[in-house]
Amino acid sequence: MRVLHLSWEYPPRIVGGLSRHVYGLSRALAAMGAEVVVITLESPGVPDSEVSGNLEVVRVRASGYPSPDFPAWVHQFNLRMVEAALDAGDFDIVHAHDWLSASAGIALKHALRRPLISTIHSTECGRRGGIRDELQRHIAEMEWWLAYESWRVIACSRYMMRELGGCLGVPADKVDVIPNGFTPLAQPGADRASIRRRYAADGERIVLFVGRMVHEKGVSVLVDAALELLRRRWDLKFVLAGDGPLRPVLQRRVEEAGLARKFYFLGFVSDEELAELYAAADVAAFPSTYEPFGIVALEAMSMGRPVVVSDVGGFSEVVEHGVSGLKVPCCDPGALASAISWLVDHPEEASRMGAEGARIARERYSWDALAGRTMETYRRVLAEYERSGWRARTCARARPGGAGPARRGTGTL
Amino acid sequence: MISWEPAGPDGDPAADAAPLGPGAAVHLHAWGSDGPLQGIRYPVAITVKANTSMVSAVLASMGDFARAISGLMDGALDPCEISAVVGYGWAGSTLGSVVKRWLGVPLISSVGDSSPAGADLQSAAIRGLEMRSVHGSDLVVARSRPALMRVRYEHGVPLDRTLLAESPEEMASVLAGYLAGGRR
Repeated sequence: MRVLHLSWEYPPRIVGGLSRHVYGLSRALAAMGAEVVVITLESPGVPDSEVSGNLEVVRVRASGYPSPDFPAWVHQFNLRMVEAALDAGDFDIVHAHDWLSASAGIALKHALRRPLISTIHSTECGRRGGIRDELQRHIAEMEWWLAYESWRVIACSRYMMRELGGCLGVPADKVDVIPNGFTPLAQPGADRASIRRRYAADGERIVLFVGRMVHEKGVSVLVDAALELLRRRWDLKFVLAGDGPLRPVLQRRVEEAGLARKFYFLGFVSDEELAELYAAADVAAFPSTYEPFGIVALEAMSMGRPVVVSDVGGFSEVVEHGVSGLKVPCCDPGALASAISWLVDHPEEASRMGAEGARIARERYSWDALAGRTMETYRRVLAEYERSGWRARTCARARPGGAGPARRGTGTL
Repeated sequence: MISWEPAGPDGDPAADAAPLGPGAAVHLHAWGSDGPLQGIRYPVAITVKANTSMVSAVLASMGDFARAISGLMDGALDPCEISAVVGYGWAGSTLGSVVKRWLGVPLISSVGDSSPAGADLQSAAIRGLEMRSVHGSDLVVARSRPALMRVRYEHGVPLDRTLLAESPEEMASVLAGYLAGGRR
């Protein structure tokens, strides 16, 4: 089975969670025997093409052409993705991730007449809480079109399946729910005590937040909860990793409250630093207002940390209340403060939840398990495709100097 | 033949095709709904209606044109009889460059005076797309002397791949010659 993945980000280019998702999934699929080609955007200092076993990564130019707006840039690199895919031959499955690779995925579906599968990781309507301007409308129309053209759509949670229905009208029986997996972070080299001392005095507890500093991640709710907690207890430090437009706003806020020394705003951190932060934390808090899946909660769980999450979206499905962490109502700083305080005051319970969370993360969300479920979707689609009779009509006659399909998909289920 | 509009400053595919004889060309152009094939004309439904620029509108339609061509090859268009793709203007040439790669047929670009000269990003993007598609063309036919100058001396396309055809009759003659195996 030869599978093409189209994704605008792939390590080392990391914009959001999509990069890690496609990385983990493509490697696991290749390890299971699928021949996987990932077409993505260039990254400085990285070769345009890399082959490792069954996995080939092809990077197309992301720069060097002017664009009047974001969608025009997106569609220009989609044009390059199409060219690269046609040069790479034929595929059994075309798998597009999000609207950012929709125009390439749809064009390749019709050119090759191969089934298109899409993973829609979030929707514009969900991210923005509605559609208000032409840019958002364009993105929403691309998302709708991608879902419409897809043989099957993969959603990372039941919540996202409902959102696809509500925002894009995707029928539930066209959707397969396959959670995101996570790639375990390496255990930190330094010992926990020495890492903790970078942020907290002996006797102080560390509350960790990881995520983009944008409204939907609920970081303002966390700062509200922190300020409330610090009025009644002094043994807490808040470490916030991630960057975004809210970072300077929140830094100013804690300074004005006279509590800047209780906060660390670290900005973007490397995976090595992230592993250290998880190892050092007593509680990991993720009070998102919108969260299609919530990979950060899984990362924290995998490192054995008890988590407090808002009871929204994918978090609701990933975290079992009282088992692997605590869930609190969305946008409620008081409830978040109480939950953090409870975990800090009940270290044995917190430790038990951390251990259970690590077990759940390993057993349910490993890439091997999730790639297996993705393969089930591929096999189902290919079986339906084989019966459909929907095939490309091509000219078998060789064209001099032609650039027609160089090789075919394997056709192996 | 691929164009964004039925006809315009980059040429009139119907007029170019007329001297070639019936059944010699299919002309796909953007429209609000698909076909049917009327004479040589095949309107292609453009799915995405909300666009932030002409560039995103044209490029987002790749899938629509691929769907239409793939569908035509089920019936009216025998893939073995497709000898070349002719792209009209920056939009048609850009879409045509995908078809060239897909079907392995030569691309002939017909460019006129639709390429904007402004300094804004949309104009620059369109000039960039035009440059890329004419460089990827097997033959570039300019519809006017200014277009020929632009193709040769701004885009830098080698002289032996450029021609001037200021009327549909001249263009038809170029196409007939090219398809017959000669260059011009």
